[in-house]
Formats: sequence, structure tokens, C-alpha cells
Amino acid sequence: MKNIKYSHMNHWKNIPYKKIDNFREFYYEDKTNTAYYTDWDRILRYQKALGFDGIELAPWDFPELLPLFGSAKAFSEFAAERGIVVSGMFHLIDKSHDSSHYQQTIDEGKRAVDLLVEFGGVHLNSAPGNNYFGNGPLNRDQIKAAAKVITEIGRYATDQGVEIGIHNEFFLAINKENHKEYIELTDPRYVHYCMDTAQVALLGEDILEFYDTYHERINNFHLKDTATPKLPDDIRHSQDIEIVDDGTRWFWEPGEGVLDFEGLYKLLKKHNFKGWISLETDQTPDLLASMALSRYYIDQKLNPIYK
Amino acid sequence: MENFTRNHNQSNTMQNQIKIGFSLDMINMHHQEPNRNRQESKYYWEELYPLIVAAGFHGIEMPFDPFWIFRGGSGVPFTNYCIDIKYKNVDNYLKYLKDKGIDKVAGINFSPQMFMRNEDLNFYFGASGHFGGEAIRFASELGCDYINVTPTAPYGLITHYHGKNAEAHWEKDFIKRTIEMINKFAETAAQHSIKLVLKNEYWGLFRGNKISEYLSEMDDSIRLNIDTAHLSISGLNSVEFFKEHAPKIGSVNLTDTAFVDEDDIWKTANPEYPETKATQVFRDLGFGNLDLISFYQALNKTDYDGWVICSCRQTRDPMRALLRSRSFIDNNILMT
Repeated sequence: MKNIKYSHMNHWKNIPYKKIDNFREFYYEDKTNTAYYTDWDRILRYQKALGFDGIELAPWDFPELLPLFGSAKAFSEFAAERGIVVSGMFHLIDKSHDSSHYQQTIDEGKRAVDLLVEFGGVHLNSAPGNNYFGNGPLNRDQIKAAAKVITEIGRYATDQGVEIGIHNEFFLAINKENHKEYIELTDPRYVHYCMDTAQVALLGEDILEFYDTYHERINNFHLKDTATPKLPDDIRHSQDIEIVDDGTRWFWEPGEGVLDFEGLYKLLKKHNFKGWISLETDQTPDLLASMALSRYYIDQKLNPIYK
Repeated sequence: MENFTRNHNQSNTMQNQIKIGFSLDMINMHHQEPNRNRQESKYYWEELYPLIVAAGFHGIEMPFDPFWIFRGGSGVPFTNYCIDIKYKNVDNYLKYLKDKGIDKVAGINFSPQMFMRNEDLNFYFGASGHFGGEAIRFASELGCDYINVTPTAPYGLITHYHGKNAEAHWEKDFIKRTIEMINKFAETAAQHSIKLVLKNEYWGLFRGNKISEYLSEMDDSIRLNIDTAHLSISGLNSVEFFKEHAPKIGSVNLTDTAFVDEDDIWKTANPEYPETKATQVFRDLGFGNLDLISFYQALNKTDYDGWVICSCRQTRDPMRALLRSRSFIDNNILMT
């Protein structure tokens, strides 16, 4: 029995078809590789072939995915037929620092929980708030408001069998200077942590120290590398910095950046981690190549340490 | 056009002052394809503009796409918000385009489709009304001649959210609210001296000639778009449609297709991707089976003096689409 289950955080942008039956005919229309990334049937089969038995979905998937399949449950059944389960879902806790927006934020969070339940997933990995630019720096009351919101959504999630996880990002208002303060203000009974290895490193944390410190809160991972840890304030605090004007990438496949994943896996073994790790290869030009590249790295470098 | 000389200024202008431009809708921002991550960064677009010019197009049409306001993707120049972040203001952006050889943003497109995402019709009409107004103001700032507005979200997408338990008259009420919204757009457009044009897609509630039933309820200033592929898929002939509505035609999109909607795909939630059989609905110019030459000849015989925008919205390769379009225009359209 393996301790780690691998999922894939979905960054395939909208996939317009469920299943293409006229694959050869479709290919011959233009003789490009379009036919290879245009239906969910093949996307899910790629995942299964590469050992990613879960898929983590995100709000940007739903405007097309839900009408295409008719319901969240129908998508999950379709995925299950191909050996894939929905492991979780991403969610942005909008305006969490703004107490005047409290009820709307709670309602949106509860709807996200309900949708994830329909998908049959467990992890609601949630960005704790809005961008630093335009909102930061937050004062103590705003940080407490953000912690209160996620705790309340977490309480509801727990009742539904869902685990909400803080998923911080290097450009958010919950940032290097208040990240740990925010974590400590949340209730550990209801609020867990999804450790995005690259995001935490970009924020300025040492990923080994961070995991060692918070391992009891960390219930799942987003596995990705970076070549530029510990970004300075002026970058993390700048406007729309996730997507850079000159095409600079913050995120790389595990092993293609500088993070110590072998050290991290030794700590996973030390703390007997059991659960989902989602490969996340956002910013790649080729999701399929990144998935295969990452699978090789996991099998060759990480599995021998802990699996 | 026997004496036609191929310099940049003349190559896109016919004797009756029809102007030929290219639509940025060829960049597929919402569906998967290799290397699409580049398209979210500013550099991609700044590399693209000179290539559009190299293909002989000096006027462009662009989508107005509020999606990029919410995703931190301000490198995509499809809203005034994005332009303000990357260029400080629209004037600077226009100067940048001019320096690269793009003389004119002929028009922009606005569709309310992205706001049909839940069962709250007040949200749909509220957000569509707000961002439609923003789009008109954006068009005005850009110095556009027109704004194309898609009147409704796709029929199948509306029924997905509202058709299940809705009352029998949902369609009638929906159309009533749509017409109210469009008439408000017309007021805003008039205030900004922009021509408001309805882009009647084959999947909308006003598809084909049905729009004629409602024109009397709409402001007289409102004009109609001709999109050759959309009209064909709706079962209409573009030449006949143009003859019937010539005084009201406000913009033209030259699009190609080989798709015939035999399975009522227009009623599905994602009609651009026919669920019964995968196909590329919108082909690069010259790669479908429409008689675009006859259409252009019909246009050219009248006093239409607006833009004809080449659109390859589902192209597999934007660079090929640009050159294929130029080749098609030079060897078929301008030689007629």
C-alpha cells in the first residue's frame, strides 16, 4: 500500500469535447496535434498512463466543463471509468480581509465546498485572499478577518467531509510578513494547509523548515519547482506579477529548478505523510511533456526515498 | 483591379474604399493548445503586431474580454484595464501600435457569453450590461469605427442554466431583457460616437433571419454585422442577406467554414465544438467551402465603405493563418 497518491492539478485550459470518436478524421482535417488535446477522454488517459490517478480542478474549468458534462457528478463518473478520481479543487477566498464582505465570501466558500462534494473530492485548496498589489500591507484586523473567514468555511467543509487547505501564493496580500501569523490565527481543527512547494519557496520560506514546522497542518501538496526562490518584496508586491511581461517563468517541473525535493521526501518519510500530492505544472508550454518529465523524476529520484 | 499595385496602403483598399483588416480572435485564449502559455504575456502580443503588418494588414479588430481582468493576465490587451496597466493609457497603446505599423483598431467585439455561468439572470444581465458599456467606452478610446456586440449567450448555454425548471416563457422574457440591454448600449454608443453593430452568431437566440423579427424594437442606429461563416451555418446566403439588409450593414467578418449543422448543434452548450462529431468549424480563409469571392463581389458593387475583417478564429497556427489569409485576399478577393 503506497502512502502517496499522485494527482495532477489541471492546467489544461478548456477542453471542449468529452470524447472524440472520429479521431482519425479529425486529425486529417488539419494534420496538426490539435486532436491530441481536445477531449477529456484522452487527457484523462494520459494522466492514468503516467500514474496520476487524481485530478484537481479549478474554477476556470467549470464554465465549460459543467455544461459539457451536465453535472459535476457526471464528470466524476466519466473520470472514474478511466481510473481517475477528483482529488480536490482550487478556490480563491475573495476579499477575505474585508469584513464588510464576510457573508458573501462565506457563501461563495460554501458553494465551492458543495461543488467539491458533488465531484466527490476532498481537498478544497484555497488561496487565502486577494493580491498584495491593491490590498497590502494588511493590518492585524484584516489578517484576523481573513483567518476568521477561512476558519468558518473550514468548519462547514469539515461537516461535509471536505478538508480546506491554505494555498498561499507569492503575490497575495497574505505574504511573507504575515503568512505564519495568518496560519496561527486559523483553527487547526478546521483549516489545513496545502503546501505548494514553489509558492512557499518564492515567498521566502525554506521548504524543508516549513514542512518540518507545519507538518501536522499540511495535508496535501502542490508539487512544483522554481529557479527563483526568495523573491524580493518589490517583485512579490507588484501588480499582476504571476504572468510576467517578458515570459519569465516562476514555476518549473520538479527537478528542473533548484528546490530540494529529495530532502523534502526524507521529511515526508520522517513524518509518515499519507495523502495526495498534486503535480502542478502551470506555466509550461507542454503539459503532456511536463507530466512525463515529472513522472520520470518521481520514479527515479523520489520514490526510492518515500512512496 | 488589373492595375493594382501591391504597396501596403493600396493592398488593403478597393475602389469603393472597403478596408481590409485582421482579427486578433485568431489567438485562441480559452482552449488548450501547445505553447498557449505564451499568449498570456505582453511580449507575445508585441511580437505579433509586426507580423500582422508583415502579412500586409494595417487594421485590426480585437475581442473585448473581461476574463483577463480577473486572472491577473493583463498582458492580454483585451480590456482598457489591461491596456492601462501595461501602457499607462490607451493613447500610449495606440502610439505603440502605430510605431509597429498598425494604423487602426477598426472595431472590437463584445460577447456576454462569459457571464452565463450560473442560474442568476440578474447577474448575467447586470454583468453584461456593465461590461458592455465598458467595451463601448474602450472602443471609443481606441478610436474604433464600430463595436460588434453579440446579442445573447449561446442558446444551449442559456438552457443549461435556465431551461430545466424555467417557466414556459423564459425565452420571451430573456429576449425582452436582451433588447432592453441592447437599446441601452445604443444610447451609450451614440454618446461615444461609436457604431453599434450586432454580431449574430449561429448559436444565439437571434440566429439567422430571426433577428429581423426584433429590429423594429431596437434603436434605429443599430447596425448588423455579416459574418459569412455564421450566416452559412445558420442556413443563410451571405450575398442575399447583404442585399436584403445593405443599408443596415455596419461591419463584415470574412470567415470560412465547411460545417453544416445537421444535428442542431446550435442548440448545444458549446456549439463551436460540435458534440456529435469533432470538427474545426471555422477554417482559415480559403480552407472552407464558402464562396467568399461572390460575397466580396456583391459587397464591392455597392457603396459599402466599411471594414472587412478577416477572421480565422479557430486556426491551428496563427502565423499560417495570417499568410494564408493574405494569399487568399491577394489571389482571390483583390483580383476579382
